Amino acid sequence: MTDQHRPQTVTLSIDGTEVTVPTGTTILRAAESMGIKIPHYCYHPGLSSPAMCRLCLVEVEGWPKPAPACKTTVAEGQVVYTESDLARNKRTGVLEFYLVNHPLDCPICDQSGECQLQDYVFQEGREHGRGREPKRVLGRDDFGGDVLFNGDRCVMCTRCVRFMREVAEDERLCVVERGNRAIIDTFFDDGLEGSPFAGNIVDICPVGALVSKDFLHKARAWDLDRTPSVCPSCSQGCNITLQTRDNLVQRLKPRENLDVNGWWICDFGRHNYEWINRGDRVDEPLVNGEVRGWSEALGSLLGQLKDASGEVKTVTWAHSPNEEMGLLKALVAELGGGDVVYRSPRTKGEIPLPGFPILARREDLAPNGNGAEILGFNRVGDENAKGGLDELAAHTGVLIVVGDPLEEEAGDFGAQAELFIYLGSYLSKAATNAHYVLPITTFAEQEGSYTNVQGRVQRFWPGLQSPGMARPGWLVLGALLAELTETEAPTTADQAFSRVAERVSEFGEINYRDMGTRGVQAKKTAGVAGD
Amino acid sequence: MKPPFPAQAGYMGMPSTVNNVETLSSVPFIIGEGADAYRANGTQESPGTKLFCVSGHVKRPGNYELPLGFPLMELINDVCGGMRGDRTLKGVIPGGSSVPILNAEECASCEMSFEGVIAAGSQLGCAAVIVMDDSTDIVKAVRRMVGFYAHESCGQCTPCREGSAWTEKILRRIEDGRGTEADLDTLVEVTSQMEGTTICVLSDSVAAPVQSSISKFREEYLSLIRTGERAGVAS
Repeated sequence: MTDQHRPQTVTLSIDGTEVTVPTGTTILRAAESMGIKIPHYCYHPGLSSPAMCRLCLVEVEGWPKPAPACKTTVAEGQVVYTESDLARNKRTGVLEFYLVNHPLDCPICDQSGECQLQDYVFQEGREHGRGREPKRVLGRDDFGGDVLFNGDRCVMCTRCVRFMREVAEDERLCVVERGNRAIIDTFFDDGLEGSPFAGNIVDICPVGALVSKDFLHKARAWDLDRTPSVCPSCSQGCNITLQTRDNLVQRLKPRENLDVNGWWICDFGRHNYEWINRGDRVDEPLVNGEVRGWSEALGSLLGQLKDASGEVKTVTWAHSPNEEMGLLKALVAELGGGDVVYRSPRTKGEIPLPGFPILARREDLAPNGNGAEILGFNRVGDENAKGGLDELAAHTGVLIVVGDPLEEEAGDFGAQAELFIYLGSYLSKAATNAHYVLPITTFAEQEGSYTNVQGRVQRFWPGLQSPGMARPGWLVLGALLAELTETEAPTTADQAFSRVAERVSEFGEINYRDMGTRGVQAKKTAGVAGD
Repeated sequence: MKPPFPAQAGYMGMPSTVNNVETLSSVPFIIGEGADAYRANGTQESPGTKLFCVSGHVKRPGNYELPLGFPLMELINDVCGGMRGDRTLKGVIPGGSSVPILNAEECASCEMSFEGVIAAGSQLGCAAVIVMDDSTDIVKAVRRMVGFYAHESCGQCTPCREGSAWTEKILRRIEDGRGTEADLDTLVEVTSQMEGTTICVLSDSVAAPVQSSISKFREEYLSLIRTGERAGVAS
């Protein structure tokens, strides 16, 4: 890079430390780059800054008034204090104003524990309140969709209004009235009903003014375990956090990834989590319907596989991680090759987020259709992930089903197979025909990776305990493959991915460490079927 | 941070000049008669004339154009015909309700120029002169002014939105005889947190009448707080 192309920079001092940042950076972002967090409400990195919450006021040497850090751009030689007496005094003052009418109903507020008003007041607020006046009461309002509004808790940061205006580009919220009587409200009766991204305003609300009806009074924030994951509801692969308690997913929250989903997820993905908590799971290996231990089951299966003479046919679904699909593909190849197909649901029409257009609810409603395509699986079946398995149903050779629960397949599915192996999480009527039923974990119970619509390979982590003896599919398939090829079996998802990557050029230069929590791009993007 | 000045981006997003009619009306005179003729009126630092909009307890309230630096007491006693009912002067707000109130003593030597009013302890502001006689209930007058600002606050900036309404509530409580002496410290501190912390200066406007009245007419507040009775307010 030559000097003239180097971005222009500004050097300033924040709290006594010099920092060099690109021209045009705000004080808030410059401080953030040094690890100094300046409290703020109205500022959000994905929205415009109205500089109206006045909480991010900092002292700038030589300025007559404190400056809002979120909106003030840095200048050469500027001297900023975020912890001076003036800055602290102003923050404490502003925080007191927030509490004048706040109901302080933390014990019954869903936001408690993840509330920025709670946090900031605890950090820097006055020890005792001075408000003696009756508080303003605005009450609650059902905003439609999943959003419930508690006007009394609102700090009027207007993040929600700006999200709907600037990001969703679906202006359904506004500030009505003015001054102390100002309140957030919806236009017309339908409110947020039907707005596909409105759930994000609950996430960005810094206090408990906007809460999720689905999550209402379900769990306290501090009782939740948080696990980085990838949304399984479409091929966008939005980065999410599984928030779990009592070994159940309680809610899904977006996780920042500017290359995929920004700070946002759609409501469809957000609320499509109950299936992860399904209780009717296969949790023991079954050999011809009899419960067996893993080593016994795998030992006898291995013998059968070695002896089997028929052609191999296999089906999986686009919820299977790369590791599972890749090792399945390798196993089929080792057994002499055969049809490898997958099923996945589709919908009509993408739903893009206008203000963040790389994010859309995709037509491909499973997380790893692109992974399946890259790994050489062909999609069969209809838009409901049903049908397309007639050949497999009547197959007389070796039939391997991985993941796909075969829920609407006929009762005689696979009945004629020489050897029918089912690796799955749920036991459908068709699956009970399998000679070997091997319980595997869902994406929420294991480590693995998905390849999204952009060809980005993204990891997820286990947030739930797996039921009974269920194991990750890659562990089972890896063990079988290792025995057949007399190599060492992968014992971690990382190793499993490496085994797959060795065989697939798109994944050739990718490894778990580089993927980190934000994913990396596969070498070239194979088109998703139907694109 | 503030919205752009009109000179940068105003009407239709173009640089625009917005001036007071009073300013514009001075232009023909300066062009026609010259700067020296304009400077013949007023003081060295505040040249020219000013429109004084006098309201309150004077015999002839109204708009008067006078040279800047005109003595306040002459404005009241000569130009406006003296105090209504020949009562005693209690105080004057010399530049609109967003500037500090002057007590009678400060009024005595106050000259109505920009520098003269600052020297007296207030600001000339828009030269809207509010004259108050000894029947004025200062606490009620201040509460009324703060109520105006609370009502006018747009509600964007937290210190103004919450502070103006809170200040009004405290003042109302004091007026109702349910105040405490600590409330006076709270009022001064709350309003000081409203100064310089917001986008526009509406918030700062609340501070001036509250703080100046508490320091200059404290006994009126204390009487309401201690006895529930008004003091220093002639019938």
